[in-house]
Amino acid sequence: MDYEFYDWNNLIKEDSRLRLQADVARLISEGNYFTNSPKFQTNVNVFGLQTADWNNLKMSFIWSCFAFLNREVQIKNIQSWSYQTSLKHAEDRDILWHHHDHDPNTKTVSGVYYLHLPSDVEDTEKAGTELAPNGVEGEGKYYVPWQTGYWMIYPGKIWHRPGVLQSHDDRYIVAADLEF
Amino acid sequence: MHISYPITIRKFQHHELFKNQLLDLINSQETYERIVHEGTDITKCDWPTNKDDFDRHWVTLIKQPLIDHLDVWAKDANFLGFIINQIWFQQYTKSSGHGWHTHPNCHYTNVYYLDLPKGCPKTQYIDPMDNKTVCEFDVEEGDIITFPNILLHRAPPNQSDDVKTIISWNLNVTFAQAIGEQNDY
Repeated sequence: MDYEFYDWNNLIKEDSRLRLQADVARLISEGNYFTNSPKFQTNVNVFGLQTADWNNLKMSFIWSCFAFLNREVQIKNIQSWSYQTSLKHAEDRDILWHHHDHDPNTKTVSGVYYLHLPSDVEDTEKAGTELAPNGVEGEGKYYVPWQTGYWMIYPGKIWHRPGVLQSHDDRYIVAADLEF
Repeated sequence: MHISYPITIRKFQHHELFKNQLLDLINSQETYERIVHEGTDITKCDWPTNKDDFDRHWVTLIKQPLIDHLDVWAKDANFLGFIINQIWFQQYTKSSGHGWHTHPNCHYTNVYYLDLPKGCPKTQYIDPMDNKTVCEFDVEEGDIITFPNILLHRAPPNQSDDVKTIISWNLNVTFAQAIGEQNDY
């Protein structure tokens, strides 16, 4: 398996997720998103937001990465952002493939935290993240299912893209990279 | 069972030197409260009264040795630095304990077992990887545990006639690069 799920629902509960979601919605409504990437990806390193909710999410990400690696590593950098999107802003999915392994001097572990999925989404199996472990042109692409409140941790070098949009209401994820 | 990362258990090297002085200063401090709520009954604790006061007598005694201890921990973990946000003591007489909780407004929290007589309970935690397994830290008096804020933990009720005393503090770390700057896309 290329990825692992880590369930933090016991410690980051629905009320906390609602506050995180509200923070992201506010950031985007205030224009804090990249204009050169699919709508709407925050241009703020959300783990730097000074609330207990974001602090807990950051620490849960770090711990999940250590668990994925089976060891504690010396952290060189952490970046994080959130992504609010829906069918209102659907793009050609073929342009959404990317990976996070950009620095040859470090290794990267990446994560997707499934924050909020609209209630009218029917196919949760395709609502999470699509991974291409053998590259975009290679065989063996598959979907990681949506799991609210879980971190999905995977090697940053794996090509991936968001799952299939199925609702006109907003879907929210938080993504992060840990470089070591 | 014990999770070996990112939980650190290390001996406080000045424990024998400071133990009795610290206990005397803590026991003579006039400001503290008994904390009682569901699942919790802490006999004496100065969190509500003094947690931000770094000029308490017992804090001034231990502050620099603790910073020296944490410098080693931070260096090993590759953190650029750390700031202790709050520090407090807790004492447990017979039947008292501290229910399941986390420390939401810091990166790491710490427990220093200042006085842990035989028969007094050690801190328990729930394995966050399965959210159900109750584990116990393998600690003894004089140890300091440093663990992430989100670890759900508790001090089980003290079944002993002896008093258990711990010192706890919260800290934030500075990562290798500042979190909070804008991403490069």
